[in-house]
Amino acid sequence: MAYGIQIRNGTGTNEIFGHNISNTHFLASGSVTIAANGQSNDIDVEGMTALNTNTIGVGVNSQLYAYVDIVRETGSFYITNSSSTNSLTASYFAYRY
Amino acid sequence: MAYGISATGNNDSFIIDSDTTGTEHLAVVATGTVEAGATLTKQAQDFIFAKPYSTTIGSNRVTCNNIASATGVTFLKKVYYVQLRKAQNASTSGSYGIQVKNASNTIIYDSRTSSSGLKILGSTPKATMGGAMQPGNGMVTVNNPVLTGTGYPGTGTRSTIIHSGDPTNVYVNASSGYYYYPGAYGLELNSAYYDYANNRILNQGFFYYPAVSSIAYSNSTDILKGELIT
Repeated sequence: MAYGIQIRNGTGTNEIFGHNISNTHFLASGSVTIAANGQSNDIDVEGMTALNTNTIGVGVNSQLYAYVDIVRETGSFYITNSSSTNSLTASYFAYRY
Repeated sequence: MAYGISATGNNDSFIIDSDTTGTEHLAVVATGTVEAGATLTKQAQDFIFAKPYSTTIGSNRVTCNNIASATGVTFLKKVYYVQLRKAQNASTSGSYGIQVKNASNTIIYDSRTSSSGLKILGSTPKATMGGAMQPGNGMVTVNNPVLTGTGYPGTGTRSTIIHSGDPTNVYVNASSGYYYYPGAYGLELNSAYYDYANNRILNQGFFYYPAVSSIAYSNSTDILKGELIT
């Protein structure tokens, strides 16, 4: 490495953060309840775009797993509920790497 | 940027930037094992990665349930885990190192929070993996790893290969999994099958009710892969 930053482990043998080690960063997490055929409010995620899945990821989960999905936007995403009869509660976790 | 620190790594990867307002480094705060059927307790904003404890078919997968609680992850099979926590919530050790704050005075990185790291190897966007029942699923006999499949979300036949290469030290995020085995039927979502014999990790997602229904599920969430550096 000719420039940049490196943080090494206690023995100094391995880089654990820095130039060669892409770590994870927290962006957002929580849970929302969504009405049938509805969508959540926008959930802010710094740096997110519709397409940058190679740097920012999102995990979404719900007991009504077959009806939940997300839509990525610039700076945020929202969660949808495609069930026509049931509301659902979805948990989410967004991260950068 | 008038002051602070901004660092990028190899291939322009993001390292740290004090100009960010909502981006906080996740430090490795714990590693260990979780027994089959046991729950790992965590803070709501912790990020958990796991890999199988056993290479034996039937136990060689990361199958988790984190729907029931924001502060716990339950694993179907015994796993090794890595627990990550926001820098501002992580304990520190020592009186020297480097600490980065953002403009709101929030600690977004502190080198004293960890003596190890999780190197991210890559990711798999949601709905890009085919769903399948892999060997040792416990519901129906499957003799060979299944390399393609269909399933919701997404359409069409897709590969099930999440990772190619030796999976021995590869962890996958356990932040959006679900499984349910009430007796008569079985369900797994976003399960990672470690095919040690062929050096790859495969997606497993299904609902199976003998003689009633069989449905494949794609990965409904982004999958992140990392290697523990100690």
